Amino acid sequence: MLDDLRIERYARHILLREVGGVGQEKILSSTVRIDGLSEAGCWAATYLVLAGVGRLHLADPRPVPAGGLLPLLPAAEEGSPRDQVAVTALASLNPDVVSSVEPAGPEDREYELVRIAVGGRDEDYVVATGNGRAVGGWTAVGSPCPRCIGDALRSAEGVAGSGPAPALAGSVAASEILAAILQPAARPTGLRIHRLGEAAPLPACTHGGAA
Amino acid sequence: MRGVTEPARVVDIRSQVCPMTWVRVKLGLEAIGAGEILEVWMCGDEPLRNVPRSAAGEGHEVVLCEPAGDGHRLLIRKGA
Amino acid sequence: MERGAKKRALVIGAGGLGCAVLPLLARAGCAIRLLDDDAVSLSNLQRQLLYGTADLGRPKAEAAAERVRALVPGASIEARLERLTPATAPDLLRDVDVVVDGSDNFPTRFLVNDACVLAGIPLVHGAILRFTGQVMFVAPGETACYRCLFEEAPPAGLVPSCAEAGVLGALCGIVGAWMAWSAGAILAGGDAGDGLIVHDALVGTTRVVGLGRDPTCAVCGDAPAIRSLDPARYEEVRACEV
Repeated sequence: MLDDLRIERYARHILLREVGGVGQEKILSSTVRIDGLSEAGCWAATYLVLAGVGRLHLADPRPVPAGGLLPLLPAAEEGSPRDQVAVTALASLNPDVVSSVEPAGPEDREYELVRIAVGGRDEDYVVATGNGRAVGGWTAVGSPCPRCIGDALRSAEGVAGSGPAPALAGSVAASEILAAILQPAARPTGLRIHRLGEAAPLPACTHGGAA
Repeated sequence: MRGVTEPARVVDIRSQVCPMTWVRVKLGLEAIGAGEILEVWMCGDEPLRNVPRSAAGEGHEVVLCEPAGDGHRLLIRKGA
Repeated sequence: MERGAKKRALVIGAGGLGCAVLPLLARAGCAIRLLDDDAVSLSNLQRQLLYGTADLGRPKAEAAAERVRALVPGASIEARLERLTPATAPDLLRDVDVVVDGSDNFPTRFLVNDACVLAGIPLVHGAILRFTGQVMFVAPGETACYRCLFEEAPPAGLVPSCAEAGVLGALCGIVGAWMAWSAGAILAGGDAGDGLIVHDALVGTTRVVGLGRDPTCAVCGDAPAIRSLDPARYEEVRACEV
């Protein structure tokens, strides 16, 4: 699976003691599904593709918004389905990754929600963004409590009006997912709100659990 | 002096440029078993400086490094 | 010529960190002057998200600027195919509100730091190595500067070898986002603290290490020995370029 071109493309990963050729082949064999191409979803998809995640299923038929979506969907694609535009854009970044459009898409919420399912794992990784803030983490249950997330995105934590919050959350998502692919032992579950510094765990849910 | 066994694999990095020099050696080491020997053919100052150091840093043992041809020949025993 | 209210950032390097921070700065309405004299190579594509396979061999500054304009219509980005040098630094910093340093070698980091301190220009510095990323904000004379933390570049023999040149690609987005966040805070007239943000992507934790200006620092201290950019101080130790 690692031919000369791939050895060179992924050299900086292969050099990592925790990765090596063996780890890079695990990444190349993995499958990830992303429901929801908010900006955070676009950052996550981009770094997962650059890392060589082998198979990527994308689900978000909503139109590309005016101004595009960093760092992947150009402004000129305004109006076209996000998942289709993403498939094309990702292919030009890395031809090793096969990505495809799937039905369904993001759950309907007051905030932007990205749900990332990784082949072979029970938990999903979710990223919620809104109000200049971002929440992310693994969830062991079917769906994280929407009220808890909504509250967190309105809370004083995080940094108000933060343009980079989706970039941070999406990049952390990609990083955590790659770490999970390389070292499948249990990862810390639980959502955290991203900040300029240590992410803060969400308070325990008092709304009767997940929706 | 410890006896040196036949190399399990040979890697020729004479046409490679840093960091692909160490990357190729590392992949060669992955392909052999613990305790087995990887033979490396290299030339130039850079791999001479970096490959033995990198190998030792990842727990392998350089059992031989000698001039050969217009470069060097290395024998590395893979660590556990 | 009178400059409008538009803020300007000097971005050093269009590599892993540069690629992540550039679109964020551009979207925030910041005018950008980008410096990079390198060309896109295959091993860059694992983490430098502004470049695709079709960009191999192209000058990075050009390819990056083109991609940023496609992502952020109307982005003001001036691409310069050059490195920052002691001779060119004063001119390149002249009309800049913040410097964002994504360079990948010690001589450049020290040069950028010293140039910013001497010119009194805020600096956001980012670095990535293996699974660790760090971001530091420098308000010259107020917060710690890079030299308060690292007195001088490590000797040649201790420069990381190839084996330590591995890096997790997604880390560039994490560190780049914090760099953009810090730069944005500065451009909005605030500050970005006086500490070092350190992220460990393997464990998934972030620490903020409080710093504080060192009064004995050679460039920003009370009696600084460094008062000009002497080229001899920033001689390049050419390590592996990946």
